[in-house]
Amino acid sequence: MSLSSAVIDLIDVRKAFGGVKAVDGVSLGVQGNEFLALLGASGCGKTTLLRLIAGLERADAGQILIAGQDMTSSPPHVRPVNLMFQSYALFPHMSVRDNVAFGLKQDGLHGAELSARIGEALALVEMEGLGARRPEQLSGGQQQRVALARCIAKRPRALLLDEPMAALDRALRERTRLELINLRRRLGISFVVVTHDQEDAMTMADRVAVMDKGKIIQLGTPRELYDKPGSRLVAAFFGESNIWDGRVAPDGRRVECPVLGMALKTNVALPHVAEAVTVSVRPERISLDPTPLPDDNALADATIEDVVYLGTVSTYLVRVPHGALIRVTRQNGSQPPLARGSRVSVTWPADAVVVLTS
Amino acid sequence: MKAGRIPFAMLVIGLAFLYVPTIVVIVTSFNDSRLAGVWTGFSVRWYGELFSDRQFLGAAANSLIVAALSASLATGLGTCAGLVMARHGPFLGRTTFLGLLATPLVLPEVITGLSLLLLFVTAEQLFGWPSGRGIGTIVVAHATLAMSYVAYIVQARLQGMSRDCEEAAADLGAPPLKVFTAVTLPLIMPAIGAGWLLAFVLSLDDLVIASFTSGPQSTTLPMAIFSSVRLGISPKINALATLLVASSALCLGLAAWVQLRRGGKLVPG
Repeated sequence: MSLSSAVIDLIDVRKAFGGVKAVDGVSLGVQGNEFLALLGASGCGKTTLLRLIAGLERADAGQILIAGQDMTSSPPHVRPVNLMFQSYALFPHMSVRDNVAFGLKQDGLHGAELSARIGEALALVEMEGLGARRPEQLSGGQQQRVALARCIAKRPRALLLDEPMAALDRALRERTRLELINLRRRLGISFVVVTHDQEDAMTMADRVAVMDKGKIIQLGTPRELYDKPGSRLVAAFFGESNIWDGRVAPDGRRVECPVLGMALKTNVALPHVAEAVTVSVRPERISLDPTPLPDDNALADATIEDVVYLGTVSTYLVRVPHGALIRVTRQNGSQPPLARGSRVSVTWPADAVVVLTS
Repeated sequence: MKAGRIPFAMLVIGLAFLYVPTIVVIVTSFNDSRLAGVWTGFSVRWYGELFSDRQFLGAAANSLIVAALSASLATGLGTCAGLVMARHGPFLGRTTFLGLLATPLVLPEVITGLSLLLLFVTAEQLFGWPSGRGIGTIVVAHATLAMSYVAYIVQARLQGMSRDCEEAAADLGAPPLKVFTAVTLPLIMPAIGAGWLLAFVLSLDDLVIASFTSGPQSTTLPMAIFSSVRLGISPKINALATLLVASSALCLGLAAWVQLRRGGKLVPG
């Protein structure tokens, strides 16, 4: 990743609040034209990282480059990035138009050009008709659009979004996700979105940085994170997964899992014999009651303890004889449903087994 | 909500204890008789006499001037103090400053008045200012007391307000001074307005501090009332008291309304 192509470059950035390390040595390059998600549980430092980029917090150490310029200690008002607050932070004493105009006036715009830019920004979020309203007269979804318009009117190099979906209901969330993706394509700028929702990250982002305790623990495309999680935490956080403790078997090619009572076949290279590892298998890679192929991992005599119907899929919780509870998802419709209490066999191919060493 | 009989009776007794004297004064002010105990009929003649009394009118003018000036001074200083308390993180001696700011609220007025008198006299001897005491010294004295109230009201408002709007303004390209004038100030305006009104009322009502810090030509209304009462109560005083109660109630009601309208807190601190 070369320095010149990145819009935002963070080099070993650190920030502590009263001894608590909120951001602990983060290095990250946000490419121009990229939709990047910072994903993590609350308190992992993702919002602090966003505020460091915006200049609302000062880094204790490290460097922050924006559009190639060192802005580590620049105040927020000179940085060519804009932040959409989780609370939207609309100015309650100004109309929608004046809210959008505020940032443009700071750039010295006035007259026809100012009006044109306001109109353009409001049009992009489909709020043209509501310019005269006060923020308190708008619904939550409309307020979010105004907050968005206020940021993009400035034509920033990157738009920073702090938990943009947090205050929206489910139907609006899904629509807003698609709209944000479209908006980013039309504007051709980088979006950095902070979210605790892996679905937001997975559906919107080109790349996802998973954060924990102030550090980025894995950075990659959603598919990479889903198929090849680098750690137990990523596997658990990014989508659902069956996670078991195990140990490399004496033959060095399989992983012994006591809770399953078997040694798992896997396609990946394993560490030393007897070393402790974690294995992860996604629930949709596991089949119930098929005819196993020679390379498959298979367990007989399992019992379906619970069935959760989710529309297009159902999740089965299956208890195996050695005690593990395995989560399996199955398409509905194509296969006949299985009842609670039925006896099944459980099978998954060797390439579904992801081996994690941390 | 249904309150029991006994709590309700307690409430009535408590409120009666507070307000019966005031109500007696208000009712008496409309009594045609010169004697407080004898009702001879409804009349506004005492209001008429009051408005033809030069001494009282002059004192009322003094009081209004002092109240307006001291409220403005107190609001300016108190707003600055409130801003620093709420928005500027820990600095050396912050707790001490907070304590010092609260002191005028609990200090006996006699002490405040006496200490200010000593200060003015000493300052006059050392610097030649203030030359004698008058309107100016009362204004300064009242502002000293009232700025603490203003500071606490402004601080309460700022603390109840998230910083998001100010940060958003900075993020949108506004330098710090612009953030203050375009966003912070309009948002705390209700608190500033309420503080001004409270300071105005405090000044209008004050007798003790004004007595210590006034000069020969600067008698305020409470002082005029107090000295005239010593010569015997004229029903004019009742009329005047009624007007004062009405204007104070109006100011306080206005202050509360301005505060509540924007969802601020009524009680400072």
